[in-house]
Amino acid sequence: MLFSSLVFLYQFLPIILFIYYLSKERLQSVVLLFASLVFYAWGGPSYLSILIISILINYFSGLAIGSGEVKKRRKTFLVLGIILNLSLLVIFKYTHFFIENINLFTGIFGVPPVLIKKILLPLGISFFTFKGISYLFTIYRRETSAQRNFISLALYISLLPQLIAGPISRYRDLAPQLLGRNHSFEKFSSGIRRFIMGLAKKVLIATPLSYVANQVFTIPFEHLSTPLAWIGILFFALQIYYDFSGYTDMAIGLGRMLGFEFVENFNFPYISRSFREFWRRWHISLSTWFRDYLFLPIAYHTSRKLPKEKYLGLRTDKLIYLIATTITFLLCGFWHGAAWTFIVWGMIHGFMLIVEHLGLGKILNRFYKPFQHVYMIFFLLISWVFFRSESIREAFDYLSIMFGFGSQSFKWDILSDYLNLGTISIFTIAILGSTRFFDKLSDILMGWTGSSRPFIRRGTVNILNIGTLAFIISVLAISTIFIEGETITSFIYFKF
Amino acid sequence: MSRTVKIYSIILTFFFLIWILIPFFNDVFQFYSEPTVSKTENRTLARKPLVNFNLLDPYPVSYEKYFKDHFIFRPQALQAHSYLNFYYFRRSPIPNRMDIGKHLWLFNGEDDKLIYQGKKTISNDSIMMIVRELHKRTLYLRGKGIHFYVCFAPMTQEIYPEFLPNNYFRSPGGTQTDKVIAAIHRDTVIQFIDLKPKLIAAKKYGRLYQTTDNHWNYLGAFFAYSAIIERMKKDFPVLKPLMMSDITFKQQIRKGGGLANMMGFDSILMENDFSPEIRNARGRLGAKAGYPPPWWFPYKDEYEVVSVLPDQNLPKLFVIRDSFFNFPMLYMRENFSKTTAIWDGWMYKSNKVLIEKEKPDIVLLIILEPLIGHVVNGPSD
Repeated sequence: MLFSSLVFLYQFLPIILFIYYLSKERLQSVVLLFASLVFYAWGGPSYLSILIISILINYFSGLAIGSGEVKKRRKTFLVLGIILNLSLLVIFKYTHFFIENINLFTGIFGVPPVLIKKILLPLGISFFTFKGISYLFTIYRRETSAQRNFISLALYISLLPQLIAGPISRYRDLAPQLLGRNHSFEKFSSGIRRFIMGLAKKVLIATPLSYVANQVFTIPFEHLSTPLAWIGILFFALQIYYDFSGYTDMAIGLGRMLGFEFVENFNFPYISRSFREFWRRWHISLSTWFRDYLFLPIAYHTSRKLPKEKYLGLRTDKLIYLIATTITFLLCGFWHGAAWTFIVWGMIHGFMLIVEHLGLGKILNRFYKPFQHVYMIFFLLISWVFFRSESIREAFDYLSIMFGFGSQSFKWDILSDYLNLGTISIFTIAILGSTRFFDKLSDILMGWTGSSRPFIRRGTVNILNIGTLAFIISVLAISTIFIEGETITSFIYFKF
Repeated sequence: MSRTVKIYSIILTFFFLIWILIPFFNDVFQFYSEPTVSKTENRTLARKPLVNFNLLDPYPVSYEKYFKDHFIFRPQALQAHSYLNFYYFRRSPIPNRMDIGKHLWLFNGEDDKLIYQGKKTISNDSIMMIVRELHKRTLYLRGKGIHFYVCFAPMTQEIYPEFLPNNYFRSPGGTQTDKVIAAIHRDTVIQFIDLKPKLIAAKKYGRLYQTTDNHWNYLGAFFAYSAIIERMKKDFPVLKPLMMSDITFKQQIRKGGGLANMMGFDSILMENDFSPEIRNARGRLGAKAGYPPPWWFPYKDEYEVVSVLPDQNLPKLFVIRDSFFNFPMLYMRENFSKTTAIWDGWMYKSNKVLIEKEKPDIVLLIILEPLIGHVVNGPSD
């Protein structure tokens, strides 16, 4: 079920809120767990069993790790738990990819291909699997004790707002909230605001941006021109940001309505001036997950096996960074999708991080700041081409047209098919919204509420509050119009 | 300050809950419900699905369709959505069903678009079957002394590609129609009348297709008629085709056609149409034989249309047709002693029983281009 669907907004949500707030506090988690399972089953009832298996794997693995006194025993159960978690992911997400590539390879030697039935990707499997692994690591590292209450653990894994596409909250952050939550009108209404703004990001910004991006990406290459190719990827870059950050806002907002506080997942990633900075601002819950559970363990284990100063003529610390980053971003790309395009996307990011670490970062810092932004956006757009394309070949064809090879001569009148009052204004809002512009505007407005004159202060507060109220309700109404009229596609990150 | 924040928090919560509860209560108590058929969208609205515990997977999708179709604010939301898309984004509000081209030309989406772009095509086997079927019909009718002619009414995209959006490209390898026509040309028996080149050549005389509908207009229909009747005249010299000088085409502004109506804009996007007046017109509607239409056919009154001309020297015409023949029929009836036109629900069957009864001299099969496959497969729904 999409948060941005009529059924969710106007049927599921009122029912859940009604039952949740009418229930006694000790039953609220049970209500929420039930709601989460129904929510998940709505995307395909058959796949509910996979979520339940994942919950059982993590519940029993967690107990086994938690009960182990000896580190080696705990480690055995941790490894077993991770293998079981990853097995689910590999079976449902990567089987086709592996079989396809094995067939390609064995086909060279004339071996007949292995054919298997199509396996549908269960919604959110990458996210709830990573939450499960995070839980097992938390228990293994003794950051918290194992969860003995099955309902609480099941709720952590399947928590409705973040079940399908995160944020991948850590168990230690959520554990206290699973037992009980604070509710207030202020928190609830801030949840409403966040939820509706997320809805608007998805429906009123990401969807119109997709009009242009999708059109450009479906133009046959023989008709595509260089300016159009750049327009297409620019719109896609903004679309994916608003699509995913919109979902996150909705998840955080919904969480607040239910009394939760989730971690933030985005912090204006497009104002970054380097890839290092980008990964501190983009999909934060995923990047920190990879840092804590992959990058750092690899770096730690590699450092123990390499000499302290130099190895093969390279400084050991640089080599360790190179190895850990390569593996982390190879897997980060693969996590996003079972296709070579995602692997290349991950490798581009890994490569840029390594290059920055090896010295480019320092050089860049000496440059004028706008140049650093241009550098960042330029290489980011190139990586998004791989993310958006269906195949490596398609990505290279698209890139070659972006750089003027084999592109069609450009006619200005063609632009009117893509850029009009609507798309230009949405693009402008999207650009401004991806910077701190609206935050600063809001600070200026809020500054007026600090006036020393009570009359001005009160008046400003009331005007701002009424304005916000009218704005939020209008945005909800316009979003509803678009949801009814459009076929709103699922969130891009739903397929990961 | 905190008191003010709390008050506004309560107000927002109140408004939000009221807003999401209205559709919820409407679904429960049915204060307002859309009719079962949406005339604008030309489709039946989704019905509430029944829960089948043995087959739950399709239920959510069916339920979401039902909920969307019966949403309390649906008419207002669709209208507003159309306005926002059309005026603000210059984009079709129903991009899978229609496209807005240059100078506000509207183009049918769905199969028309897919066929034009080569994304939908028919197999060589199906092409062979179509040709074989037309060949068989020709021989059957020839055995009865009847001449059989076939023609396809081209899509607007084929005649006016210059008004298509810039990102709307014709299949470089040709469309399925091209392949069928090529196969028909290889057959020496079928008498095929290719309307497309005639219509393209006639564009200099005026606009031949409607801008707010997928049909040709009366001027386009006249040139289609001319191409057909000139071909028939070779076999029936007695025919006296109407000339352009026989007709006065008056300009007429009327409500927008079907494509404008799909967006709810039929009163905004008007159609600048031609209204033809034939000098000394003699053909008039005749009495129907009362052949029964298929039970599911929505336009039952139009299943059988008969026109007569009081001149028994002229041949009798039997037409298997679709809505495109509505326009040339006006001209056609001036040339035949009797014209019987059967619209058999886009099945384009041989209609042997009716032909046996009518005993025409000529049978004409006129098919809208994307529906060529129906000759052997019939409509999908």
